[in-house]
Amino acid sequence: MDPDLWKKVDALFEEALAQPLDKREAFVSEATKDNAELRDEVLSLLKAQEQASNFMERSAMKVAAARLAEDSNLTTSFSLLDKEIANYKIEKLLGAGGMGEVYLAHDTKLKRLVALKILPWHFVADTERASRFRVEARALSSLNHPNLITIYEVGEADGLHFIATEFVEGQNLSSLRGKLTLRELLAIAAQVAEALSAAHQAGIVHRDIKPDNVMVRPDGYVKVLDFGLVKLTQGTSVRTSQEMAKTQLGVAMGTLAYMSPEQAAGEPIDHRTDIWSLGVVIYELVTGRKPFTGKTRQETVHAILSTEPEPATSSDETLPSELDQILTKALEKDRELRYQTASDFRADIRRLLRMIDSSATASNPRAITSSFPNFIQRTWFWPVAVVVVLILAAIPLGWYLTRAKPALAPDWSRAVHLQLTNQPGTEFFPALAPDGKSFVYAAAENGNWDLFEQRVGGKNATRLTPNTPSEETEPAFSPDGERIAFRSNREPLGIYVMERTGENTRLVVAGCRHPSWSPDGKEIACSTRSQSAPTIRNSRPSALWIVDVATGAKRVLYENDAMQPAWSPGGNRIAFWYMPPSSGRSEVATISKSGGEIEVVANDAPTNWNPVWSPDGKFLYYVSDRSGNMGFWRVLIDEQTGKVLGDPEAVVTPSAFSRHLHFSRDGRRLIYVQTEQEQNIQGVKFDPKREKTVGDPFWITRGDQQINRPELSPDGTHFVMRVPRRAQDDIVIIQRDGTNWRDLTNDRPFDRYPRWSPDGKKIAFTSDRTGRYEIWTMDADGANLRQLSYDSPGDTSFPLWSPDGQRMLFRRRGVNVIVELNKDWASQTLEQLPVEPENPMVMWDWSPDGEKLIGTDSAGHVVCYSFETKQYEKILDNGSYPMWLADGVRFLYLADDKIYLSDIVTKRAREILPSQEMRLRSVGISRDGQLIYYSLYSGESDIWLLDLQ
Amino acid sequence: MDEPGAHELTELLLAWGDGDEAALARIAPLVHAELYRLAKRYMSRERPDHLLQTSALINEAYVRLIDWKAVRWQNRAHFFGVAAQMMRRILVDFARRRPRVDKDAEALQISLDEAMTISAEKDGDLLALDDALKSLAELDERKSRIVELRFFGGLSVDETAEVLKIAPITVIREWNKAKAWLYRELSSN
Repeated sequence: MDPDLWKKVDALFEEALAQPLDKREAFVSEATKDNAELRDEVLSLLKAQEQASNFMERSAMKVAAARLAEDSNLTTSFSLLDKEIANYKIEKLLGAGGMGEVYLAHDTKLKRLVALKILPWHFVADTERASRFRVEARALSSLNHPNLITIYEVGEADGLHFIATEFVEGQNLSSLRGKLTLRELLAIAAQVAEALSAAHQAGIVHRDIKPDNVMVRPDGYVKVLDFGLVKLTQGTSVRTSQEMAKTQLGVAMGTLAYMSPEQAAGEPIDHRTDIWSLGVVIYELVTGRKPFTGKTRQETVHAILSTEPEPATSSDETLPSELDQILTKALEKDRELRYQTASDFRADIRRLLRMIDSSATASNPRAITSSFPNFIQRTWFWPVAVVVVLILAAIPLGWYLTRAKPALAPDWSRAVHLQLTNQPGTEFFPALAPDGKSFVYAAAENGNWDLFEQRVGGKNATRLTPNTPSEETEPAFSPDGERIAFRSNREPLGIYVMERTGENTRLVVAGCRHPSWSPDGKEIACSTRSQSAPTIRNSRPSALWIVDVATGAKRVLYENDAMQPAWSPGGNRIAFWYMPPSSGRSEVATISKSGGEIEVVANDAPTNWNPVWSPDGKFLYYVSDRSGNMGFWRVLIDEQTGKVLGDPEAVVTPSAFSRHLHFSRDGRRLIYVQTEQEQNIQGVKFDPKREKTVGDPFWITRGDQQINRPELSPDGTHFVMRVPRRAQDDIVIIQRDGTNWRDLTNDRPFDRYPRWSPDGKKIAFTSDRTGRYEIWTMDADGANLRQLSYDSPGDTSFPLWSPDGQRMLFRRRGVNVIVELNKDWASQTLEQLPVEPENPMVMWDWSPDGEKLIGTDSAGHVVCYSFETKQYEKILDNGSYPMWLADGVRFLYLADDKIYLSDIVTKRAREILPSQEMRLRSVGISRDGQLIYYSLYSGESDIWLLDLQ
Repeated sequence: MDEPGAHELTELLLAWGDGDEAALARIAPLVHAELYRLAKRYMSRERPDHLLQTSALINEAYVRLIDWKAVRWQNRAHFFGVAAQMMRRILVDFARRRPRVDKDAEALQISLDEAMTISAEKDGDLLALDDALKSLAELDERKSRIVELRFFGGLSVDETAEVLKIAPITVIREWNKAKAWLYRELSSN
């Protein structure tokens, strides 16, 4: 438009707007008698103006957000290809459905392919439901079974909720319809039943077993997909009926044919529904037709509820009649008459398999090899299978198909368990002699660590190191079994070598710990720090050295952080665990013996540590709590490059806490430490004036529970504490006398660091119930659970109430922040404390006058922060868990397993309570100063053996 | 990627205002996250009619994202201007990257009435709006600035007046006329 004309249009438009609504048109017509163009322009603008009242009255941000919300039936509003979500690079879309979209993605950290499921919007919009989903997904992810898809991570990034799972290459069962022999099909069904059995034992029902959900890998392994996800996505509480209808429709239409009668009738279901569905799957794949069908939905439901399918054998006379019996029992309409457990079902399938095999063997031994699946290409398997068949033709071969693990991986679940030591107290760091017949270990008799040798199966231990105050631990046999390297804290602390009989001890290198021999026995890898468990480690980095055994000459291989090195059997690489800076996590990596970049083996939220190579160098075993328990995992690895070649798989041990594993040279024996632990509260009366305890300490709780960091309520009536349980941490309160135990939380999330509000009405704590650690509060009876912090990067923890109860301090994103409790999260300004000048700190207590904070930094110093000066001041070099006395000057703390009192003025330490037999883990004091309470830890650790012979 | 802190974010914004394009890449993810957060809130709790409120004093996102104390008073006007421009860039880029919804498929799922309501929301198409605003700028720079500040920046009338150093009543008049012009522009397509 010509600028002059625009000026006229604009001016006239403005004048017209100043007229009453009903006069505007006439006004414009009057003013533009000789200019039609001007008139049309202004009139059209006037018309637009009337319609545009709501137009652009929301900000663009809100408009965009609303559009995003409207698109909620789209999973995501971006094209995700080539994008990165967290550490996953999206490579291609594998599929989409009511559950969301599934992408093939590359894990850029762990360098492996994953299937990434992006959850739909309508699902995550409901925060309560989304958080329940994450909680339950974590339960699922703790299920470890070779026939279940491993869930690697449930997370959220850039507003997208995702589940990263193992990516399975293979074909799903529906694409194998008509291509399978009975024997192949039964071998697959047995694996499905095995997966069902494992999941059912954990209380998880699949609800949607069908051929599409069964993947068969090229190596014959079967993986059941989407376990439990059906229920999770449907949810138990449903917000909108419309949404429900959508999901129901989607699920029902596809899988109606596989539904159990109770499911089709909409009745409550249990694990036996999966047994029915598996029966349908077997029937369909054997006969080529579904047992229950109809032209309409109603007809199908009717068939499921009231018709009996024709016997499977009617489709093919050569089918064994036992198959009919099995299917009849699986497809009992009354679930009380059905197979009651998946393992019973599996046993019958296996029996039938055995029968088929033995009849085939009897008539023609070679027939079995030809019945191996032709869709499976197992290059390594053929020679093994043929040899086995020729030599041991009578042995049922079903085992090979159902357990088609690579032949080089020992199956420890078949091993014999043997307890080797049962001395009271702790036995650590067992090392098997190369011949596997004897072992050395470290034990603390009378609190002093020494090395002992014992025969496997024997009872008597021989002391190898002198019974002197010096402490000897971490023994390692030389490859020829003739010498033992170990750590000693005699002067100078370092690594020593002795003959296996305990003679001719000499120093190899000072300042290093945890030796691991090179395969040629000439060098030792060691770390400058070592711990028996990662949980008690501070973050001072540990260097990795290589030391020449003969000369003691050392070279520093890696400086950043490396603990408990393990030299690979081929001699190329050294595995170790480390803590990435300020992550609080522990991870496993390897490095070439000549240095260079590290290759990460495990780097994820679970604690991963204590790596050990299998003697053939094919696997790296390590200790991890990824299943909830601290147990053993292994991963296929390239010993030359350190590249991980497979996914972590669980190695079964009968213990909630296993560590310090070591193999015999032939790889048939695995020795390790099992730990049982308990932690209880003790109290002692205290006179704060004289700074002396009064009377003897007394137990407040006793038992095999683990009570972490108890805190007495301000009115002195109750303790609140964290209690770790299998794969979850809960908040519990008890009365001051230790009675009346009450769970405030008892669910899957990790709830930690509970702290009383100053009025004693609320409890703040850290919880990952949204999938990330955030600060939460609840009433002292567990009601009114409320999320306080949001959008945290996952490191939010250590809540601390201000003495007036108005504010809360916690650590978030590497800094300590303070929020106002009367504001919601969106309007918080997040006051930050200044960055600590030396080391990051955790604040443990806020002084009663509100002016100071006291805490410990990562180097173990006790540090005080003043709000007035905004300065940090180091008070003590060594101490933990400082807690103020009422005067706000003195404080109690722990150091060297004793309780001390000090103050911020003189900084002088006074011992209050001497060492106990058990280890002190936390300390607190009642508000009136009359009671000191503390938690005491005791652990019983014994050495066990897994034996495959 | 590490998220920039509030203070750093403010610096980035000012740097972008001075022509540092790289700064935008650091800010955009935060705005996106905020967008998702808002979207989720809409979906979970609020009825659509609650959305039709006039802008608050200042876009809620800024309150959360910007360290206002770091913005000196004399910089405020300049800062508002930069912030609004930045939001426009990020939001329009965001809209551009979204896949087009298949209108036919969508129409099958919603009744005719609903379809009418949705098509009446002209502001939903930020891409088209951005184009129209560019045309408006060629014709009438001041009006387009006002739209950018109010709509993309979420500024109030008074704040817009402060940035442009004009009277609030002028902002209102110009805003109304700009709206009508843009509405007509978008309706004619």
